[in-house]
Amino acid sequence: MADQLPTELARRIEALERQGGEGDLNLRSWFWLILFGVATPAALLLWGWWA
Amino acid sequence: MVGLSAEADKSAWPLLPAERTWGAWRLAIALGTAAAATWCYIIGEYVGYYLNFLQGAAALTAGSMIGMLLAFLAAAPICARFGIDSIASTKPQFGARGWIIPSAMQLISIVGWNSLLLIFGAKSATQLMLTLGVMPLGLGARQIVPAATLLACALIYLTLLRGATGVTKISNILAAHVPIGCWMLYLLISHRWPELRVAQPTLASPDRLWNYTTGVEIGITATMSWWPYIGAMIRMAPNARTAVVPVMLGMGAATALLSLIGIAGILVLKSSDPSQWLRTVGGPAYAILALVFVTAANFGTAITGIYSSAIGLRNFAALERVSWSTLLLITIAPVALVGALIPELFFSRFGAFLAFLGVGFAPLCGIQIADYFVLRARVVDIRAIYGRDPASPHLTIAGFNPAALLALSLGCLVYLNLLNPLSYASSGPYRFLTASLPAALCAAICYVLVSKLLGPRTGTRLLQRRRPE
Repeated sequence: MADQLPTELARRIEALERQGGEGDLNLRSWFWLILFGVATPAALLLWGWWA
Repeated sequence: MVGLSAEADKSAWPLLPAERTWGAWRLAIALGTAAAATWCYIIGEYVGYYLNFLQGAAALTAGSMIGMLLAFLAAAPICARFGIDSIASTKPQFGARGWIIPSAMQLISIVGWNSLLLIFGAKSATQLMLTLGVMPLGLGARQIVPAATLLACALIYLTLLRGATGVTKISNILAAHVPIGCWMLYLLISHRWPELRVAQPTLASPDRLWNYTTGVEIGITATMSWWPYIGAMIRMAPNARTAVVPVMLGMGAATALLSLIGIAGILVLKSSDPSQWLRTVGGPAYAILALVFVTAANFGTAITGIYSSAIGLRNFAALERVSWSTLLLITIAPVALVGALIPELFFSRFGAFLAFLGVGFAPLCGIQIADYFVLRARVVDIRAIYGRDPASPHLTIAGFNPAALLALSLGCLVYLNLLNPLSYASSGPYRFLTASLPAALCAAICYVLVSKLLGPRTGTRLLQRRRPE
């Protein structure tokens, strides 16, 4: 498959394959996501309904 | 942009970790510049038709953050891990040819949003010229708006000839418009708070819950439809962790904050365009300042949008080798045509455009989230995304993954059943759930079930990590 890819693209893919799953979301990321994407909207909706 | 090769800058190829040099601040500024445009005023205007200021602010902010969360979870994990754009990130779900569908959605979204921006900017400029009495003799808005739109397209084209470097440089300059927007909001609130507090929306339904839900829905669809922008920007960040807060605050919260200008403007002054109402509040000097702001904000955002779209088009084999300048022309031409030929028609149909975005992007986000977090357990093969071999694990049925197609169709049907994008007539549990969230959830469930039912030949298991032979 790699033979059909441009050399530079193949080189990039190989480098990324070596990297694995580094940098994926961790617990801290999930904390911020839940805070800003779930908890804050829920609080705002409750506040706004009674505003 | 240190270390980013010219080839990678203008292609859809994955970026290497060493090339992804945008830290959290850099990313937040770029995303904030992209989000904080005059579309915020129009989004706010539509919320202001249904809700008073405080309720509108709460509903729109909540919706914006929810939409941002969905778009982030859909695109960011894959885009940030491999340095790829949003379109490339759909190949694992839609297949080696099926990604054309999200690509078409991206194109429609970006063309629509950027047409809106440029038309808005042109209308503001026309309005100011009329106010200041400098309108050329014999010319009116019908001539000036298309001409100004075409001029803006030409400037964007010239700026983007330098690739993402152009985006970086322009966002450095235009980041200042976000605090200016906050100042305009402060000005309006401080001058007109008593009126604003009691102002009532003109199109509000007797059903209070329906109005509130519609405010949330508008926020969700607006930010969720910026899914293409997220991928194009996040690929410059070293990883998804770095991108979480910049995306949620730099794009989601900034959008909501600036949209308050639109809510306040339409409620008190019957116009969401600051270049019109700032003249009323502060006189011609403020109007000129607002126009500069509007122009700068639109310019920065349109540049990011056209860049994102051009990178997305690179995924097409036919466009892989065309020159960057030609690709830019292809990308910008539809925007120029809409702005030049049907500016008024398009501008007046913004509400329908927004709802149609929800019809497509809600199921798309649901499918991507389910695929990455449920079916693949976060394992994605970057080689398969770019593979062209007929034996590639991405080739499903003629290059289309039936699970994704079915899920997308079902999600669209669910949305349309809950909310009519043209009339805003709703049914069923819309007033409790919105239309976007059920559409995303149904698409996600359908995608998982059909993928498991079809098994590894056409489902997603074959798309998982595969070592090259």
